[in-house]
Amino acid sequence: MAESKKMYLNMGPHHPATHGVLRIELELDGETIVNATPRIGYLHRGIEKLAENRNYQQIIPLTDRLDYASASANNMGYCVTVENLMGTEVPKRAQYLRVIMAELARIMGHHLWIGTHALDIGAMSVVFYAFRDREMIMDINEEIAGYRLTPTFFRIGGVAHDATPKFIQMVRDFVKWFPKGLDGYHKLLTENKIWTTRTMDIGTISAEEAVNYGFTGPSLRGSGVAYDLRKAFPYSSYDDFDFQIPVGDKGDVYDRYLVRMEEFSQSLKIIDQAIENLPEGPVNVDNPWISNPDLDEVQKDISALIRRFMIHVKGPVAPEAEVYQAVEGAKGELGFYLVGDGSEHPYRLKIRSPCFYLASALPRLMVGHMVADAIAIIGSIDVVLGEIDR
Amino acid sequence: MTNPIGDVLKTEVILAIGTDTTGNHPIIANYIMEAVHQKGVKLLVIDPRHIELVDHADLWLRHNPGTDVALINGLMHIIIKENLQDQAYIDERVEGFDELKSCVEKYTPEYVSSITGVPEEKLYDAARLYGKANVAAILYTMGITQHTTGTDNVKSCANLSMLCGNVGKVGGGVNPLRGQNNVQGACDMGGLPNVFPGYQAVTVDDVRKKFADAWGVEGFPSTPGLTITEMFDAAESGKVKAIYVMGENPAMSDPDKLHIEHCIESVDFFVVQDIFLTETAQLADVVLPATCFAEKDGTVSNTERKVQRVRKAVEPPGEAREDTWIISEISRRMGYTMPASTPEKIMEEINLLTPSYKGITYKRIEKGGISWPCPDEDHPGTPVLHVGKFARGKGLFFAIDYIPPAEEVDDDYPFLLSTGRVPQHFHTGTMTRRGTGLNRLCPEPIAQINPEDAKKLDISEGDYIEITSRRGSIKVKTWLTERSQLGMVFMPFHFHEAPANILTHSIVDPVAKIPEFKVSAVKINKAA
Amino acid sequence: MSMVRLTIDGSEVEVPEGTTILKAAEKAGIHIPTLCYHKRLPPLESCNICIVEIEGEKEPVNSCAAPVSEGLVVTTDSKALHEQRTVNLKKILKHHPLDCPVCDQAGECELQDIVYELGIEDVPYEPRKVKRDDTYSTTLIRYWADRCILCGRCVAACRDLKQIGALSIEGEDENARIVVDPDKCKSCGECLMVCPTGALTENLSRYKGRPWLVKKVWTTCSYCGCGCQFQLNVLDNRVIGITTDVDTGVNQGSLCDKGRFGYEYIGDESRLKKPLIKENGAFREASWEEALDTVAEKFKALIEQHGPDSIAGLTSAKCTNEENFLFQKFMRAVIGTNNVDHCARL
Repeated sequence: MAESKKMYLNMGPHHPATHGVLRIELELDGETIVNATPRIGYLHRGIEKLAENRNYQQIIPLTDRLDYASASANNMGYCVTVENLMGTEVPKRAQYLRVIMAELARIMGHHLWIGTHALDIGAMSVVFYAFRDREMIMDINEEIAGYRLTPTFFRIGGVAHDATPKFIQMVRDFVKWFPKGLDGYHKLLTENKIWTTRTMDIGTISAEEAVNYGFTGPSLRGSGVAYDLRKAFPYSSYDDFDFQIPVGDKGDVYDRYLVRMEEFSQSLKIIDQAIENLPEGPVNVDNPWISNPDLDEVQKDISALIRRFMIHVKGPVAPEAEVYQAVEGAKGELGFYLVGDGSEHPYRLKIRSPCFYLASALPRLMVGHMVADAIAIIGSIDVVLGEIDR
Repeated sequence: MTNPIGDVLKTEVILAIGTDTTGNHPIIANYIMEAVHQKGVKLLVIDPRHIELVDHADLWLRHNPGTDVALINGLMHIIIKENLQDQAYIDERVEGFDELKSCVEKYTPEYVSSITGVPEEKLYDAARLYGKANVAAILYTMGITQHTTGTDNVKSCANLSMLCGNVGKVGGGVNPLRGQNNVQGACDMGGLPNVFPGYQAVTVDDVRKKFADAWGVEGFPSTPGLTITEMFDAAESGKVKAIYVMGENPAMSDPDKLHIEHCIESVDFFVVQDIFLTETAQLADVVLPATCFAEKDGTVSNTERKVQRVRKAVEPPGEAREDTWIISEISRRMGYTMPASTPEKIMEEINLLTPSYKGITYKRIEKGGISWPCPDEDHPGTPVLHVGKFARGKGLFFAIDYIPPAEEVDDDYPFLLSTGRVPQHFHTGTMTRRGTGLNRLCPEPIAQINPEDAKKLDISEGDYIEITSRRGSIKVKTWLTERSQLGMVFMPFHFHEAPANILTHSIVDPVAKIPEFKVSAVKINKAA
Repeated sequence: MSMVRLTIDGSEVEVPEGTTILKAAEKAGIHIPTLCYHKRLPPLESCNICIVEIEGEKEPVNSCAAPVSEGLVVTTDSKALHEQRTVNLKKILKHHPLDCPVCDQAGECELQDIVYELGIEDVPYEPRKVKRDDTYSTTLIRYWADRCILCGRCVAACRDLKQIGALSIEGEDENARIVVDPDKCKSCGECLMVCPTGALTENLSRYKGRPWLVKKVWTTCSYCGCGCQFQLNVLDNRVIGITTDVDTGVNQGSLCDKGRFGYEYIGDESRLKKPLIKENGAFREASWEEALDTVAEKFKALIEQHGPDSIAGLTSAKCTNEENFLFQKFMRAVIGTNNVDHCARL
């Protein structure tokens, strides 16, 4: 009888389907995966440590670079955490603007996911449509913040500045257009025989197991658990908006696909409500220790100049306390554990990255499947290494 | 210093003799100011120059340069006559009182006044001021030491202090203010011809054996080597063939510059390791670029014997390297490998071999310095020396007679030259004369002469004068000021364009081999 | 010394008689905002920021000057106090120019700190229309008259710490300014140390680097034997300034003109950068290998020919203990001579 010999295949960190720099050591018996070991750390930049040497305001751009595919959603998590620690709440208008940015970021993240996920499996054209629509959000980012991928529009105590009329118009245009775009993706994939064959009953994980693995976000909901932090622990006025949490039932790649596809529509719904009901008022808290004075005030008033200077150079001070706050990022529960020591730097910033938990389940999801399925599975849990490695 | 700097705040009388503290040790001067103006401490200044301290002094004795021994003997004469000495302290702790007593017997106020030029009543005032204080501190610097009688001067200060029971007391002591950041450390580390690190004499067999064992060599010469002043004479006579200089500028700092240059030229091989191409380095056969204090780690010992850290802040320029690396490399090429490489490792070796530094580790001095002696790792250091008991057991009075300076004024050379520093510059100017900042404050050498002398010589403020001694001659600008007494001229030695050390003579103190920078005979002409 | 008990913000404190309320509060761990107060100077009472309320007294008092007394009940923070402090600070800010972006002190400015600490939001006064001249500047110290808040620290430092008294305040109210007696000023920079604003700045390191960009390294001064402690401010491998701390070292924040301004030699262009070997009366650059080989060979040859005592070494009072130790070890263990000395005698 022929003896089977195990083969080792090193997938990544430069493999195009690993979405960044994930490396997986696959142990194969023929084409079947016997074991898989994810290796992480190729994108480690020491963000948590860097944060200890920056003031609270300066850390925001670092958070953009966690899940860079949906940067504003990370800003949301971090800023809400710091504001919690400092015991302040941002004005309603800022909260709404933040929701718009965060949901746009979620859509952006999902765009990247649908494009590459489909591309990996062999549906070459989806990526062009997805990136066409993603470009619109990038333009919106550019309009409001100047930066396309990592806008850093959030500030401790509010947002960088008020929304421009052009921004509002662009968001409205997007909300109007995108259902058509989304329809296109559905037409290309949802009932496509090849797509369903490649994704159904692949990488299945039960609700219980998913919870045990620490799954959150669309990947958890794909297994049928209706857990979404926007509903469970509402922040930034999410309870003002009407939206549903889509869930799957089997927990395979196809279910996770469907959940995210529905999230496109739900996010759009939230954006639509936020932009139409945008409250009037300031976009920063009225707190001389946190909010930047206006530039025209700075040019006239010495105390405004000094405060602006101090907020930039020294920055707001957080009390000696600790706080954990999580938000629903594009990938799941993005949590920040922050310890303040009475200075303008955090004593410790620990980031709970949803992708880390998802990636750690890769062996469980892959074993028993073919090599080709590995690609579908990686795409379906939608990990971003910027967040895992930090 | 036997006592920490802060002790001047805890004393009753400060005797500042031969020290221009505001100019050379401005931070110690801060303490003196605080003591005098806020704590009510009396200040007694003994100096031939009208230095700034004089303006804050309760009493100022302006004596003729080089007559310090006579003056102090005179003070002791009065103190003993009026029975102001601390007899209990002397009986318990000091030997040789009778010899001292008989020695100072002849230094009557009249006699002392005739030598020093200080009025008799001022001598009485000074002696009573110092003698009646419960505790009094003596501060001195090169005004005491840089004489052919330098050793005698220092011993006289010690006599005076012991006579009144001030040594080994908080707020008392005999306190030489060190002029360089690590002159204390260089001595402690055995940078002297007669001792190993920690003042362990080379003449003692056990000491030599200890070091030979530690360093893995067969032995060391049992006789002391040459001092700096002797080295150059030995070079001239051909006894010394090579000189290796690390971070010194003898061509500027040593007396009789022309003679020194001649000596350096007569050695076969002259190596200079420095941060700049100094006057000395220009005469070298090989120049090795070294690092300055901002480019290396290490420790230095300040005037209070406090060992403090120096930390690396910038990278050295070009290929310049740490002195320790250079020494180790030469050593390795000569067949001896230095085991310790980093400063911290070297400190560990110092801890092993130097009892007074035993407990001083980098870890302990990270937050602040420790004063040696520090015999073990739990010892807090010793800010005040000789408490309760002198290091040698009993203190010893030295009976010392006054000897006039080596060179006295005469008809040919009627002026007396004293050299020193100005506040804006440091030593040979290698460091302070580089940037623009300090040079803007003090761009050129200025000789200070008394206005009345100037009048006689038809010199007005800012004129250039020619100062000539038996060794040479320089041209320099003048400042007419009462700071210099009649017949005296003061000049800084920082400036290579008018090096004061061309004028000074190289006759040295017989014990300490220190040159007499403070007294040279010169003549002054208005420069053409 | 007899002790006095008093209550500050509800907590009881026991301090020696004659202590000020400010120091007593400090002991109790209670922070009172201050501006003109400086640890090493007598109370100046020019800013009126450190005011506190004393039970039974109508007007608040300056805590930096008011001594404690038995049974005193002190409140350091209340709405009224905060308002009064805000008004007092706004009066000080009245004429302060909008200079922070170009001011060297920005970032380590005590005025900025207190404005931020108290959260001052607007200054309802018209600033002075005419820019004032710089009345006092030596070659090393520059006085920016407009930035000056006339706290009087520099005057007190010059008078009390240094006993020089070169500075004084002349003029009344609007026209008050610091005036210097150029004959007395020695450019020691004591006034620089205490100035809370950018009114007195060092002329050497103007516009060279912002305080938050520089790396600060504690070290010991390289000049005289006082052993002053200071921080070298380093930016791009260049020393651009020197700062001190009142609580560190024998110097208590003070420095002399050499220590404060004499750092330029560190990165000077004329520093030796390569080993030099003299050939036919002129230097040429050499590699370390060549230079070290030359020295070692020559020493070895001389020891062989004339014995170890034909070599002498001068170590340095400018070098560290470790270097001196190694040098004398080299002379004694490697060369084999006691001919080692340094410039202690000079």
